[in-house]
Amino acid sequence: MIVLLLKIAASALIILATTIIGFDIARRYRDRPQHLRQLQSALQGLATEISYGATPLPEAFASLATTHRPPIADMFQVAASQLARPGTTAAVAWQAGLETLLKRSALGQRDLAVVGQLGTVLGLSDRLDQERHLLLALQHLQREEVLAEQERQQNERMWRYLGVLSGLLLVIVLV
Amino acid sequence: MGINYAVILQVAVFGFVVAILHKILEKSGREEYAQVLVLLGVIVVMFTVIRWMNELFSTIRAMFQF
Repeated sequence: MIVLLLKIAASALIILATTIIGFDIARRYRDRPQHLRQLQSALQGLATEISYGATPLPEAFASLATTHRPPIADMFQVAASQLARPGTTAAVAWQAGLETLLKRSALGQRDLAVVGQLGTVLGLSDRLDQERHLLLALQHLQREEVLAEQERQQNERMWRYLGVLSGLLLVIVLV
Repeated sequence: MGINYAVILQVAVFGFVVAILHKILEKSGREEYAQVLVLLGVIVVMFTVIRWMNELFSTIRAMFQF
């Protein structure tokens, strides 16, 4: 009787674990297009701040941090606080922001490569040049978003089913 | 002689789950993984069946050894 109960409990645990793993991987696929879209809107906001508002970078970062949602907002928050320290260049602050974004969002190195190059331009060249670079990064992000959306449709549901069913399979083999 | 339905059921459910997984993997464009999965499934079931065949043969052998 106790053995049976233990078996049931262990089976439930195995299925639960694999289900959670599957859903976690699926969530990464689901979040990626969303985060790419949010990053695009943030960069658009930055372009507007630079070209029309001529806002200083620390203020621009701070205002973007308040108007956007967590993973993107965190990035600008970190960048703004880095910039507030004396002697930090915009490139260093931007890089620090990107690293937090890399850690906290579903975006990968590939997505952020072009955005990372912006750090060397921001706050250094004239408005037109900065705007042009931001536009380039935006186009890259748009292409990535289309690809990410395709990947999501292919993989999100598959990983969910895969998690549950592989747990079930394991339980059946072990019983 | 009691037939052990649990084993038959186990193999049946195993086959069912493998079939669903194969369908899902195939639909999401991973035919090669689907093939490997089916192969692995067949091997696992084979081992279960071999164990029971072994038992059957030893029963038969015991029957003819007076």
